[in-house]
Amino acid sequence: MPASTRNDKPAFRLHLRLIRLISLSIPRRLRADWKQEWVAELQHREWLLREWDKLTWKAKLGLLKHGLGALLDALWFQQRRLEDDMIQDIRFGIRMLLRSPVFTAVAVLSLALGIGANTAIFSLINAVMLERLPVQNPDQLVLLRWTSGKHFPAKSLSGNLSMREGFSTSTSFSYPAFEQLRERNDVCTDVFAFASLERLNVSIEGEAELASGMMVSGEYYAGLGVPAILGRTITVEDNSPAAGEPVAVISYAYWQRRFSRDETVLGKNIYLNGTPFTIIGVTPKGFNGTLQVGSSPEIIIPLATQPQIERDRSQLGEMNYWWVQVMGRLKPGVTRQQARGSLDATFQQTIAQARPSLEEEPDPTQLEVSSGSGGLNESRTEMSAMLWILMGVVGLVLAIACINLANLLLARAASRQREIGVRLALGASRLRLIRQLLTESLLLAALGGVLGLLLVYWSKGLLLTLLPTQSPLTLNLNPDFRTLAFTAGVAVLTGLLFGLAPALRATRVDVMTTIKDNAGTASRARSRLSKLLLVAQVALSLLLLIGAGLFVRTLRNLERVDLGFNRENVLLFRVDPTLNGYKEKRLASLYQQMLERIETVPGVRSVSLSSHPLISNSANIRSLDEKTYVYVQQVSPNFLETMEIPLAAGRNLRPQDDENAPKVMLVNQTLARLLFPDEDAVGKHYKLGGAKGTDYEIVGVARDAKHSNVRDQVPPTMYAPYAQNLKGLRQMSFEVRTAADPTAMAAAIRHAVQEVDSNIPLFNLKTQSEQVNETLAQERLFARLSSFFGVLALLLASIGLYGLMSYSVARRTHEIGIRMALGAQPGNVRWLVLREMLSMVVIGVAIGLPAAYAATKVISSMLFGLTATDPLTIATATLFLIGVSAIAGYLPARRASRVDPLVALRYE
Amino acid sequence: MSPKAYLSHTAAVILQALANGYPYGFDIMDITGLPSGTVYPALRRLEEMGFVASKWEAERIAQKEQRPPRKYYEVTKAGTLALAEAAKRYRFLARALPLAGSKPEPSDQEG
Repeated sequence: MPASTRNDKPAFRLHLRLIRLISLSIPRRLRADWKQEWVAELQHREWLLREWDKLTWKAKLGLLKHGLGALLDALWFQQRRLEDDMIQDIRFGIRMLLRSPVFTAVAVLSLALGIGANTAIFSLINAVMLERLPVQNPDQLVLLRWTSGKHFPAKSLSGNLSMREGFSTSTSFSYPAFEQLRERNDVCTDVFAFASLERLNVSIEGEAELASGMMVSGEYYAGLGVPAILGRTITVEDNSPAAGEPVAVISYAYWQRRFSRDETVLGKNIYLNGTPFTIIGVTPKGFNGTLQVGSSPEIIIPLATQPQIERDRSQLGEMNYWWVQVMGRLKPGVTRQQARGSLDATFQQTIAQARPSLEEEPDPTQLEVSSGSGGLNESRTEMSAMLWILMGVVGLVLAIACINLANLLLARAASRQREIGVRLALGASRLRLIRQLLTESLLLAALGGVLGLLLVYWSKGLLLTLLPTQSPLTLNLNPDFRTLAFTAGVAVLTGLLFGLAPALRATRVDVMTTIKDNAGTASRARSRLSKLLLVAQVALSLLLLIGAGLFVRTLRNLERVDLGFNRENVLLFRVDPTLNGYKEKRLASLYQQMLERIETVPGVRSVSLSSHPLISNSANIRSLDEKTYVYVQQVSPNFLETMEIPLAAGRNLRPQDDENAPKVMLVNQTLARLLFPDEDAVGKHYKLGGAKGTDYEIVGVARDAKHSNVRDQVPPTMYAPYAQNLKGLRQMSFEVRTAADPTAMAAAIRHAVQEVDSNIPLFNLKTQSEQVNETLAQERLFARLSSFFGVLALLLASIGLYGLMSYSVARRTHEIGIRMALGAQPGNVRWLVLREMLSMVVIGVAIGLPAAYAATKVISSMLFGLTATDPLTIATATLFLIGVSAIAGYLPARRASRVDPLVALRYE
Repeated sequence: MSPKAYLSHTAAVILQALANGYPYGFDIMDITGLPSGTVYPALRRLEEMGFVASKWEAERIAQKEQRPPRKYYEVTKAGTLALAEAAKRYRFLARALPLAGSKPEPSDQEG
């Protein structure tokens, strides 16, 4: 720039200085042009102003202002520079990655596993806990619940009830309470109710099957803002007592599964539990109702049809039976707190109305207004603990993968030291080189992320089986915005995590020494960092291995538990003839017919009935007094015989023990000890339900057998003949003991049942071993996943150890050669190398053990038959780790011991 | 580049100013009243789109004023087409700016 010859005051040229300053931010190759353009313009303007004799202070200020505009211009160039350098970096990065395909493949694969596992668990968390209802403005929705003491003001309740520390809380209300809440509310635009119908016996054109259902009030769909995609939804008129033939809405999934999306489904008649309904509409795809997360009712009917669906038991006018869930949509501007105040007043009135019919004074009960954006959420909380543990495990795996990769990159950086040194010497800035190296690791992470996402997408079906539930879940696991954002975030974070340290280290080189290729201080510092990373990796691997050991041994303990009955060769299934109107005597004789018919099937050794299948997490529990309780099992006389539960004393139940005979029961050993601690229970009488209760004679004592799950102690159990309790007779479970593989007989048995009444569908058909295994699904899952990840972590760690030791041996070849020349034996050299490795492992173990001690506390409630500090597990895991790492370290050590001193001294 | 590419009003005005014979950035600022922080980035964008091309003025003019040569801009063929297209949308564009020749004095203040 030609300097001005005029004698100007410095302040005058401020605009030129400004340009010079701003020009520093322009990419170097464009800088000169840019500066010239601005300087020329400003100087020309200056010259003009002088010509016109108008170079006043004001004009100078104007020039400065123009100069400031250059800032915005410079800003435009920034994107230019970023793109430029970035594309250059990326192109260079891709070239570097392609140059070492093995390294790239290993890195991308281990990242894909790590990121994929995290994405998978996150997508579950997303679907279970973060997903909101696909309805209009879900944030305006509220869910009503109440909190009370031990004695809540309802005689009976269905829905979710949680009792903890003397408090009970639930979302169930009586139907009259719902109606009053709806009528007298001034805080919500809509108040609507719904209730789950777990099973509906559906008959369409003569074919019977089971479907899941939901009952809703007339305001339900309008309140949620969910339209029908075909026909119409249920309205207030449909839910009024004056409605004509009852109507039903079906879900999209059911429409697809049962009707193949046939549009003529509208107006079709279907029989639900024997009552005719007309299908009036189909709800949108993806809308699965407002029940617990994962459930998806297929047939939705008005609440007012409850008496027809559940026969003779009308609950609509019942003040003391609480069974409907209530949600509302807040008016704009109304807070949940305000809504609570208003709705609670109404709620208290409904309690006051019900009070006279209650036997005891209920505890004070309060209404709460919680967020309804996700529908009911009890099962969310149940699943969340498990999901967070899984998230922790996969997080650890990713951390290990990161550390491993950081180490690999460090090693690579060492081999690229010359390249980096040369670039530094040629004037590349350190920041620029760091960015280049980071671009490479981000590229790796991005590739890993994409592959991980694909892995998750392919294994979606597998993912759903991770969740321990009895019924299949409907969850939307398709990657949505949140999942994609999570994966992208994790990928970037991991890329930075494993890339930053090596990049910083690699660029901190002394230019002169590097170019001379003298492995000097830099590589010593590098190997110190490597060692640190390896120690961390060993510690984390140990943590995972110990966790895996605990889960595996828990599963083994559970599988080896003596159940007290023979689980092999038993086929289970259930029927619910009450849905078709069977009850009491007729029901008992139907069961009898079924039993007799199944017995004639070839290969059946015996068949029995019980109110609950064994190990199915279900039971009928009655309390004897404040502290003791008993599991009540209604059975057919040959139940013990079929399940091969031995009799310890007395006699078995007999077919003659029917409604005309005196009431009898069998007790298990635990109950016998409880009721008659020092006496023989056989022949004793016991009144179940207090002094006014039913009197039973104990005719025999059964050996203890597990009842509803494998984990719990054998509970006090009584077995009573169902024939003596016809009033309480409901759906039952069949147990069929077969001579050979029970699964092969399923068809024949199904056929036999249908011969008795073809309108009664069988459900939950499975073998007893499958039933037991099902309840251990979560344990099995944890054992498998944690072992898989534990071994993966160990594998990564040993690769790291092997790599580091090989590198260290190669670097010390010269030194080892001298040692050998001076008379060191191969054994000494081996030990030299092994010692270095073992010291890292020992430090890793020393850190890992206390960490494991702290971390496994989280899972201690999930263990069975051992504690989180189980010495055998910890010792095994530690020894396994040391053993595997010793192998990984031995190979380089052996190589070191075979160094030929002559060759080694010529080395370099 | 397609001449159909969308031109913002600012870009169209700047293009029109160039077409009217104001080839320098500062002249455009004076004639359009737009601040330098708007005109320059817009010029860069137009150049990137291929609607304008830049050249340096002859050395001798610059020497007379003892400063480096100024950069001036010309409307390209694509730019002319784009301007015609834009003129249909912004109807007062052609009449909004005076033709060069009666060069106005530079204002003290930017518009």
